[in-house]
Amino acid sequence: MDYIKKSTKGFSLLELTLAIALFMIFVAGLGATAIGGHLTGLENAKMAKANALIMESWEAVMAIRNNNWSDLANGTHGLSALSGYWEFSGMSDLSDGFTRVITVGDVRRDDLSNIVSSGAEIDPDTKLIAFDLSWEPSSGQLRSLHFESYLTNY
Amino acid sequence: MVVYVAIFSMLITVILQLSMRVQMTGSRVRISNEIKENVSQFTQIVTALVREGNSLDIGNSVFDVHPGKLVVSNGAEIATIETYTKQVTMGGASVAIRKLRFLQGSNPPIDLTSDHVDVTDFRLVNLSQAGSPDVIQLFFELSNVNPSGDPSFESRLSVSSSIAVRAES
Repeated sequence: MDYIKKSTKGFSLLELTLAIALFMIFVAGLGATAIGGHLTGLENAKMAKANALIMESWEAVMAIRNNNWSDLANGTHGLSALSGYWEFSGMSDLSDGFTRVITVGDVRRDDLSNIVSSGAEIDPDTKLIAFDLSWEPSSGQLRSLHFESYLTNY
Repeated sequence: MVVYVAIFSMLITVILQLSMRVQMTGSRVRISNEIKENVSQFTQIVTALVREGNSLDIGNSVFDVHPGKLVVSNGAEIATIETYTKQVTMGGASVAIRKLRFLQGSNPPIDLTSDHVDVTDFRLVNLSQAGSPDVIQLFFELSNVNPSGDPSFESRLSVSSSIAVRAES
């Protein structure tokens, strides 16, 4: 009986397909890493701008405080320097692709002057200032940054 | 055999392209980080300088135009932040870049930005009001020095911030 001798040299179709599939996974992984690195760089740059804007906002609110404490009205505000000095304007403002909202709120203190979240008396010389920045990232969901601090009239 | 050679060639091509792309991304991230570090360093120094100052020297400062100049009075000391141009060699080419520097008293000036970044915008706005401590708003933009003009390596970061002196003027 004659047997047909099959060659065992070279690649089978299955081996070739598997090798290409593994290679494609490897390529996709490296590609994703490269793109991810680039996007992270862009996002870090936006975060650096956001931090500078938060600092700008804080200094602007301090300038408003320095000029007239009563200008720190409770509510949500935007900022403007169009009059030649910092002032609240509207309920938010846009700056270089960032939306900025500043919220001024009352602060309550108990008999020992400790800040409490409810009850007690409103301290007329202290305000809680909250800063919110949001921006469209290079990809993905809306990004935001929040910072808050107390500001006193002394 | 021809099929194997074709597949092998394709794979080699893809690997080479990918390697170049990864390398390019790495370079761009390094450039971006360099600019961010410069922005961060400059912001911290100018903030500390203004906050510790007594008042702005309005007459000697330059506002509203690029390149601006900031002069802060701190008692007997006068501190200045300004730009100057410097010739640097990069990639075999000589390029003129603008840098930020800090001067205090008769001390030698200190560079606030590296030789790899160019100050493409530096503007100051005086937002001070009578009777209140001085306030400035500053805009600045740093770009990487790119003598070849290759858009792949173009990177810039523009920042706006504000600083108020802490002491009464």
